[in-house]
Amino acid sequence: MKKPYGGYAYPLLVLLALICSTTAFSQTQLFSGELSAGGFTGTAEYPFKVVDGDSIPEGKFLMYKSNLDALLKEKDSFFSFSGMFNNGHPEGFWKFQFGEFSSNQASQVVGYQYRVNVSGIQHDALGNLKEGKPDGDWTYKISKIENSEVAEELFSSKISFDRGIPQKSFQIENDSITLVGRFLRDGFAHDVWAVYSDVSSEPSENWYFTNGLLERIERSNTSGNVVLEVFDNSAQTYKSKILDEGYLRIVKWYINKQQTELNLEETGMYSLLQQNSQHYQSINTFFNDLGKSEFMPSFKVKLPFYSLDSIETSQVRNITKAYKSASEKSDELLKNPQLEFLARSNEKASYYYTIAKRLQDGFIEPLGVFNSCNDQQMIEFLPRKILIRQIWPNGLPKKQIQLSNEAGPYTSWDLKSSEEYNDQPTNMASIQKMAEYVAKSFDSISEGLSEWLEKAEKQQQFLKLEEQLVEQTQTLENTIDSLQTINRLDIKNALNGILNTKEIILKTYAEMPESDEKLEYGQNTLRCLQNLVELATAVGKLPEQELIIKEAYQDAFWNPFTATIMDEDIKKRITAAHKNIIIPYVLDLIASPVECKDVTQITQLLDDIQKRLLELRDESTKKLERKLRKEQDPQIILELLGIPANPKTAEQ
Amino acid sequence: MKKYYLLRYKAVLLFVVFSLAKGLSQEGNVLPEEAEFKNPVGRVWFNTYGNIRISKRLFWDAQTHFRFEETENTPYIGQIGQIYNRHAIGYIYSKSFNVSLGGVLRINFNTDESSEDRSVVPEWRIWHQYQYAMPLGSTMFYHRIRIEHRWTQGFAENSEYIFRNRWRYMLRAKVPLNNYKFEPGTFYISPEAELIMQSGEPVVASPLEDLRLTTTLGYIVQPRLTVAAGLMYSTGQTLENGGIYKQNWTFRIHMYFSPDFRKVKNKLPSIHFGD
Repeated sequence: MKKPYGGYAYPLLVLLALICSTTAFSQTQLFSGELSAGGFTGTAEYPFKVVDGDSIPEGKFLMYKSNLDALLKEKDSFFSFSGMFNNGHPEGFWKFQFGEFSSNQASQVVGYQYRVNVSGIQHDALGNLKEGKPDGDWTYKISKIENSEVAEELFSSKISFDRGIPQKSFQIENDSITLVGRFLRDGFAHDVWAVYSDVSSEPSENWYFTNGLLERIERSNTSGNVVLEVFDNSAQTYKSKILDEGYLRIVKWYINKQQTELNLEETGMYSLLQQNSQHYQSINTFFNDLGKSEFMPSFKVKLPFYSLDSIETSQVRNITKAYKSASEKSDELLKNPQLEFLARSNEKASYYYTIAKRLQDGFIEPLGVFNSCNDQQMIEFLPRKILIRQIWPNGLPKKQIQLSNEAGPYTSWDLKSSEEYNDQPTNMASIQKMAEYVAKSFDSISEGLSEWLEKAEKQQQFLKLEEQLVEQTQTLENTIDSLQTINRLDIKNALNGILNTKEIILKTYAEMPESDEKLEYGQNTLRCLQNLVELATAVGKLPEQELIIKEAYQDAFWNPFTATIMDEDIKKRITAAHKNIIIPYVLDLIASPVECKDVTQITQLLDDIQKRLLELRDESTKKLERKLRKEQDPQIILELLGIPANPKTAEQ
Repeated sequence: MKKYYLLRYKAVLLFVVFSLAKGLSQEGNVLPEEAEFKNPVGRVWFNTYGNIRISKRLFWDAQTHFRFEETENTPYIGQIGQIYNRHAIGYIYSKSFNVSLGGVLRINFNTDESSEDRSVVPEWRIWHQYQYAMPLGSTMFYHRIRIEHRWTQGFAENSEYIFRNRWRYMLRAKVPLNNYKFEPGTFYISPEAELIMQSGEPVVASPLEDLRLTTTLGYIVQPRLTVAAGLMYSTGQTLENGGIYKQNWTFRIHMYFSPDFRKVKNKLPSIHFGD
């Protein structure tokens, strides 16, 4: 949110703050200006008070934006929000209107007003709030507008709240289906939540809740009715939860136990609840940017709960840790094209590669399913045994991986040092052992391949580096080629000097034996080539910069003998020193040729010279000009002009 | 025809009466039947023109001319005839109009080799000038009105100062030859015509003092330095006898310079005046 006391309002607010300090500290002030909140930016007017450096809205609030020009030209995104704040909480009746309109540009005068028809989408949300929570009836509607009339209702939700807790029945509908449901007084979903489609008076989908517990789902489709049992009363404990995407995922898991093909996301219930949640979220973001609110509706549900004890919690943590380590290494190995090629030509590498693949398919993938349940905080809501049986229907994979029945060095895989887990029942403890076994296996495989991998990595680095070197060399040559049209010998010499530097460093690199030093030298060479491009560009700019200086050092004066205005050169000693001594000196340095370590400094020197020359134009330079009179030494001249020395110029 | 003779008679009579009454050197000078033109005299003038800015609107006009005149013994360049110091303070009203007011001290040298009189005498003037420039395409035209109040004396011992006014109008053009505007490196050609009339008690029958027709070739060396050279033909009535016309061919060499010693920052606002 853009704070109302920021920007141009700040001085006014400081003044106000001073006045306020002599009276009541919490005295309200008025904000009127541009404001951004919840992704909307427009004009806002509201009173606020400053408490502990925070501005807290207090009283009637209005924020709006509409632009007739934009509407007539193309389209206008408009909005208008109004309501009240009490001590930072939205309170009382609030109305939100926003959307996007376009116009057919035809206007009509009706009763001293121009009337323009609009078409587009409009969102309307209105209802009451109490201490920042929705209270009473709230409606949210999205309408399709054509020629200033509602053509179609795209979405509509009506929910009653009691201090944020949804009450009684509610209705959410879009252009094709309607969801009707009800809540208990405490906000728990209850009874039948039914989805009706436009084509039938019978519900197409019913969700049966009892005190928040979803017992079954009935769906009717072309092939008949499907009844899906969801949660039963067999669990020892139940836990309440907000009906959110996490909840729907758990429902999905329970359903997929029975019907693996059913995609819950595609059901009407799911999509309507999700849409409703997104619309409420947009208003919630707006309120939170301005003050304090809990606008999100808490549709409460109950779920069977299978809590983890401390041992299980630790086991889950270890499984996750081992899984992440193994999965990372597996990706590293299996997605390495070098290893894939190596595996084709080298028996040992082929062995490791095959084992890694087997571990990935048989061990890591199922572990990944378990891990995602944990990441999505579903573990405690799923019956553990069933979950494990679902993931590993045939029990945990065998520790020893047999590649062939023949005896030999590369026929099987088993880390003897790791604990056996196959002789135990499939439970969290054995899963943990298996996960740790996989992680260790991948450590061992990586170690076995390390020599090759390092070599391959280095080769890869050389390959990449040389590719970059070629590319950068090409860039440098192209840059210099494009500058060869400059018809000045000193610049041509300097550019040739740069090409010489390039030749020298590339030759040195090429002649070095493959080693870490070569890699390091190559990286320095790459940087040097990049710097040389910058230097060449700077040299290429010299004629243009000299022209800028020439023009800057000209003064128009009235010639009394011709009675015309003429340009005359001023401070000629400075411009002459620049043109005849400094620039030739720097170009000579570059042509000499320049060493890599000095390239950036010389580029900087050219930049400094240009900046300083332009500064000197308006400075008092009488003394300097006197000193320059007989001076021919470029370094002394640079010093006199106040251009920072650099090591290259200093050593010369 | 009769009337013409009558008028002529009256003029001659008036002239004679006037001359007698004054008893001046014109005594006995009778207008010739026809205008008489003296043989042209060759002259060489070396002129410097300084224009030194002293403030946003004021300048110091400083001219020094060395004028040589040929004599029988010194043909071509001749011998020094006058050293001429013209100074004034000028006011720049706008880019195209300026006025000046100042004085002249001219040192006249006696070039008559047979004369026994003084060899050097001073001449004093007060002068003011109004110059208006107007562009026409790349050519510049200048109108100059110069009025001089002049005290001169002859070379004879104890000769009295005589006072005359001079009324001068000059039309000059400057045409750039190798450029579309005036800037360093530009050659220009400058034709000019100046009519100098005079009045005053001693001026009886010779109001046309000088008509000067000149063409000059100039070169702008630097913004503040220009050189030029040209040839001038001039003719005018002699003071002694309005019927006798002197003639001169003058080779003129000019140097124009316009230094500005003010600090750069003080110069800046003055460039365009009221534009």
